[in-house]
Amino acid sequence: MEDLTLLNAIELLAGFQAFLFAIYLLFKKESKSISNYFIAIFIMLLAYNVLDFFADFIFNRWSENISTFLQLLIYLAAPALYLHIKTSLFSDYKLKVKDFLHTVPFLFTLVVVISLMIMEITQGNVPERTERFFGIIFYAVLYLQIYFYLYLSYRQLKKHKVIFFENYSSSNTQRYAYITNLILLVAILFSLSMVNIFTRWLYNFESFAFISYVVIITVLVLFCWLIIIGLRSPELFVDATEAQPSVKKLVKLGESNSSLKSESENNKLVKKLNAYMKDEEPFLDASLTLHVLAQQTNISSRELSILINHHLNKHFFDFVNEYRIEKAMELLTNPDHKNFTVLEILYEVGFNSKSSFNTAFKKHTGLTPTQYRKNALKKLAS
Amino acid sequence: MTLREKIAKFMTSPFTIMTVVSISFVLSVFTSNIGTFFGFVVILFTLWAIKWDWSYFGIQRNPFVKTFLKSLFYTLLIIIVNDVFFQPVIELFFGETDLTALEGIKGNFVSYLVFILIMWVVAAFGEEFLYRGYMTKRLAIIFGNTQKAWAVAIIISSVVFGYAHMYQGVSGIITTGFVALIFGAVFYKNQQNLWVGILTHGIYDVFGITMIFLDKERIITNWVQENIFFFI
Repeated sequence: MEDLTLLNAIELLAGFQAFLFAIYLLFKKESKSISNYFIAIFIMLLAYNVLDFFADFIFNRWSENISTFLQLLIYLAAPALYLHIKTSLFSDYKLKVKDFLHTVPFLFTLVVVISLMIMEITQGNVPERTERFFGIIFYAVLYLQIYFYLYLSYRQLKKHKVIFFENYSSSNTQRYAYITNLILLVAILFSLSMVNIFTRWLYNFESFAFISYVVIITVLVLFCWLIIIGLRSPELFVDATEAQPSVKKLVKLGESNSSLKSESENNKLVKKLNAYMKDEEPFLDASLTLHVLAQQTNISSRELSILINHHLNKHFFDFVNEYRIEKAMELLTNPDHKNFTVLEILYEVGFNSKSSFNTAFKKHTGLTPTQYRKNALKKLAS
Repeated sequence: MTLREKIAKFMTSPFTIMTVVSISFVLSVFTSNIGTFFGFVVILFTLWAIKWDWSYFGIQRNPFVKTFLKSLFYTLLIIIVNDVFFQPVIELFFGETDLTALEGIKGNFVSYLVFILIMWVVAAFGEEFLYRGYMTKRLAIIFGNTQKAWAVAIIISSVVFGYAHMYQGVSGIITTGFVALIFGAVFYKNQQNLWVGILTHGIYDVFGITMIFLDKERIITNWVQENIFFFI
């Protein structure tokens, strides 16, 4: 190995680090979830792709075809990422036979490569133009595939957010931030790699050689970020046995078998619900969910979901937080609570993070909590 | 939290340890020696940050006689398994181990003694400390501290250890990596006692260096190749 460059050193570093982290993920005891396996596969595939120089060095002693076949595995990376995101959002998701359709692009390229190899054996040589043509197709499939899967992942995230806000009253920003950042980082990485491929391979702009360094450093950053986040392991949140499907589905279902309640019945239920919220103050519990509230009020989860998320046209999340804000406004101006900090009050009324409290408070009152408190106390004094 | 405690938290975090092992591996592949020295700097720094808690690396007080007898036994085992069986076969396929770096001690008693001294500090103590006490133990704990986790951690640290001996050629990488597997197993058996590994490593190296000093380092390998594996 004489012609090793700094680029190869960074490649090896990223690859080895990814390898160690993948082992960690596969060995992890606490959460042996399927989503861990998928992210491990994604990392391994990306790491292998980065290490192609070393792989060629090892495998080319026997046959060039081995490394070519192994390189096609990159077509499984995007599906692995998508399934990681999907299974980490919906932890109850079971793999179905349908999911094997994700391997179609991989199988397609595999068939093309095999037929090219047969052509090489029977005719002696594949013309350069044919090789170039298939090369362009391969890259096009790769990048179209990754952007398509990133779009699908983004849709899963949005779908999850809807269900989450219709069923839960506490925020989950950390997990959402992880998935948003993951999608964004992978999108940036593959865009850079696309620029790299287009300038270097398609048009032979040698002055763009530095982009290889940009790409590999982005890979290194992605791996480091994943390792740091992964070791902290943000916990999963949606309990599938309790969460109701999105309200759009529920309403559609209700319309088809005409089980939706009449307006007057609904208004009666709303009154009952509001009275319960005011008297018993169940919202003070930060972990209040739609399921729990349904049990407390003796309304079925499905009905309650339709009532709040459809009839009142508010997410359960916002519905509960409005009560919390009202309570917080009361405590902030209460002379008995004068010595309490805003942080103490927000925990008391059932929020579990400062940022979600501030956002909700501002949305409801137009003021920050401290501003509101100052104004109110001034009024009291005068 | 003081600055030192913050540094300790950072240095002992799984992310840092994985990164240090990776950097050490890359440096070994590219330069052969710097990987080990980089590791020494990192573990000394870690040791300072955790207030010289040597037990973090498996070093503590142990009965000397028992430790010494154990290491004599392990040394004998390594000589039989590696020098008699493994190394001759590997050298048949990948060529002789390249020991030209140690040519200077042949017949020179002063260099021989100085080299033994350096070896005890850098190789026996330093390398066991780095590759077993730090890499193997830390990785095994990160991977879940099960038997399987230890097996994988031992394999990884042995690969890094093998590449750290790249100056000995391909055969050198393979045989040192193989011996490292045995050192790893020894450490797994004696997790609270790194001294067994240190003494085994030291005694084994004294044996090897003495053979070089007497210009007899090929004697076992050649004899075995001619008399046992003559059919290959």
